[in-house]
Amino acid sequence: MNYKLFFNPFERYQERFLLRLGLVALCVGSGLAYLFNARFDGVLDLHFVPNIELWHPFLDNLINIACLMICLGALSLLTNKRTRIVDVLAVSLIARIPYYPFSLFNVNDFMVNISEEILKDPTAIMSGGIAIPQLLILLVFSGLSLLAIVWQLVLLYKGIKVASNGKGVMFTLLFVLAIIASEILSKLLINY
Amino acid sequence: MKKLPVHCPSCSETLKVSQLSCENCETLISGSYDLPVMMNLPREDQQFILDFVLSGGSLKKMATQLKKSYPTVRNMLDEVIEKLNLIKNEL
Repeated sequence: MNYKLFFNPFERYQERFLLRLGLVALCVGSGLAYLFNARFDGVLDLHFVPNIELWHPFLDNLINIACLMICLGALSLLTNKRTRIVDVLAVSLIARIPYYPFSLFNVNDFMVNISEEILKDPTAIMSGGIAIPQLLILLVFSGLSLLAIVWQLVLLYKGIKVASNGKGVMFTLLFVLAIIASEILSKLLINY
Repeated sequence: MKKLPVHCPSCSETLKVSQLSCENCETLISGSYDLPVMMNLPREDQQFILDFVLSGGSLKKMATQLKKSYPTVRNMLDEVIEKLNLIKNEL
């Protein structure tokens, strides 16, 4: 198995395949988020809520993808005027995939309930107020979600590099700024 | 196929063509000729240019042939162009 494809499918696959995969994943991911009360309220965010409408996760994801497209598209065009927007869209869609499975952690509102317990008594984790299995699941969730963020950032970075042929320290710095800008923009739009 | 040396192994200067021969009548031509710009590229880049021309200059066809995405092939072409420009400026 070629593990490189997990981190950089953009070198190998044509944009049509990537767009289809990204759109299917968006629909499945948003559907799962609706079933398990998850909100993608930012480019780098995932939160669980007690109640949710069907359109919420779809709109969240569309805003996140649009924000990534605007910020990374600007960076790509600044780097290389011949960058195709369809490649930036494919990168924005594919890079969301690592987030989608995390909705499954909220089966039976598990994450909502545990969050409420911790919010009620923040010392519960230290004082043993939370059962060990729950604590373990929380730790696994935290660890995996950190890995998902890293995976998403690697996909975005590699993808934009391929789309725009970006190189050098300046490109990397501008990429970091574009990600921060997209996170702020998405937060503002989703909370509006 | 033997690899054509383009740089002097002793001082790294770009080599010139000083002799050409006809294998049929054994005529020898001596002189000092510059190597074509393309000959200064690595062999894989020369092959890329050849494939590009044979595919009618279509990056999409090249992408299918090389099993790579369109932007990857376009980036490869950009790098070959960059190298050619560097070589042209050096000559």
